[in-house]
Amino acid sequence: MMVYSWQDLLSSFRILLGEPLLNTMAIMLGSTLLACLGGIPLGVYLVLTSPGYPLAAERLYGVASSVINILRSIPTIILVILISSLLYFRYSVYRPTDFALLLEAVVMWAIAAIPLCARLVESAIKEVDKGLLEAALACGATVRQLVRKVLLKEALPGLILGITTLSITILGTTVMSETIAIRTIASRAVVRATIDNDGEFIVSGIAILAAIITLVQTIGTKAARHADKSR
Amino acid sequence: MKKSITIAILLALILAIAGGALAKETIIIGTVVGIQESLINEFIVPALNKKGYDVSVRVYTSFGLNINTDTVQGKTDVNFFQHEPYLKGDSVNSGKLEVLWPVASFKMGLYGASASVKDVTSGGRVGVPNDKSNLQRALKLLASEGYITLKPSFDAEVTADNYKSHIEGRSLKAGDIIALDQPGLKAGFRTRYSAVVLSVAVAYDPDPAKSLFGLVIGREDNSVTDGFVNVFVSRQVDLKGQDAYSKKILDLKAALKGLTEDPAFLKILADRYSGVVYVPGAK
Repeated sequence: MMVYSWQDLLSSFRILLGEPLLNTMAIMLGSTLLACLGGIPLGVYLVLTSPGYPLAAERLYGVASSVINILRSIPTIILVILISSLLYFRYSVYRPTDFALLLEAVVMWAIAAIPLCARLVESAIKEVDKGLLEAALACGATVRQLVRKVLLKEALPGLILGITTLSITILGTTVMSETIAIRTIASRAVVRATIDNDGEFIVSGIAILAAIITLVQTIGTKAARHADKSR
Repeated sequence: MKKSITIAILLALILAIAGGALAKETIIIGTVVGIQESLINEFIVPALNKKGYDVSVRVYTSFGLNINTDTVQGKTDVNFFQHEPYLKGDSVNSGKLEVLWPVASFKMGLYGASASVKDVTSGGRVGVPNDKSNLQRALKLLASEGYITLKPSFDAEVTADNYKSHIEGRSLKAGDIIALDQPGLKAGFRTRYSAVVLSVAVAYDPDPAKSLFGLVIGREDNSVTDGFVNVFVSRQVDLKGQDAYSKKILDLKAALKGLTEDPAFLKILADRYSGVVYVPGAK
């Protein structure tokens, strides 16, 4: 085990809290948001078409479910490389700026996270008491009303917790972001510590990541509790 | 019945003990995927088999300090993936390891993504490795090709986190140079050009001219490459060969010495990897 000087440790914090922190937060928050835009409708669709729900269609559910299974089985890094290979043509049209490269990364991570988001939404909504669903249908609610006023509203605490889990999962996968030239905290910590022999980066990297995860999880838990009470 | 079982067990025991005694010594070599692995499998394993050793090759998917740690801890007997400057930079393990034998140099080169793009300044981006030692090498290559200049503050501490403030753009702007990891450099989708150790590209296709990247735009000078000879690294060896480890490692050293002086081996390197992979000092 190596002993690091305080100066090394401090300078590693200073480096990680610069651009790597911004990139990490951009990917984590941006792609969670984008993944929710795609994943929540998909998750609702999965629930509605599953057996026992108003739009039950066994075949459609089966197809959607297996497509999601296949997409989830592709490792994030392979999906990212696939998408960037499709984007290569852009060099004949324009030269992407740094911001465009980051934006592409956010979109790539979002696409990779949509299937997981759909599954988390599906399981959160299926937790809703079926009695409520039947009551709403008996009162003559349309499917749109049912989704908006019953399913999503009742499942909100579970949804918030699921999205919190999603964002932390995305944070974990940023460790391979340097394949597309985005320097994040996790990737910097790994490269500096395991290749460049600057072991202090593992200490500062874990400390910063732990802080981020604690913060996100605390906010998520609090928001879920709040949603549970005000339901 | 009982008797036959007893005999069978005894027989099995005897066979096991005899087998253990007759088993050949095994040398475990740690290496990384790519040209290093193929050099070991093609040339070094047969040479050691001839000397009566079994060889097991442990292949790592990317290089890193853990390969040295594994050699120090005895998970591998020797490793072959690094050049001497990298070993010196490993402050934790370098005291317990020593250079056994230099084998070959791998040149660094600048690649274009396709044969049609030859002008590096034409609006694409240039990818450089994200690890300290290869990054500095790549930036020096770009500087020697005249695309950038290195500021006086450029030193051994330049990393992927701060290289942009230590270089000055000439025909290439500093912002055009981005650091990627090895898979990203090989895939080349984020950049139009990549500076990589040519051996990485050679591993895809033995003919550098036809390799994945299509075109070599610039390559390192021999005098620079010679400072980065890839070496076999072992734990401390007793030169008299008193203990079992030293004995087999000295045999390995003799095999490597024979190989790097063998004209047939030099000719294969020269023919197949023309000027990209070579034994320094050999004609």
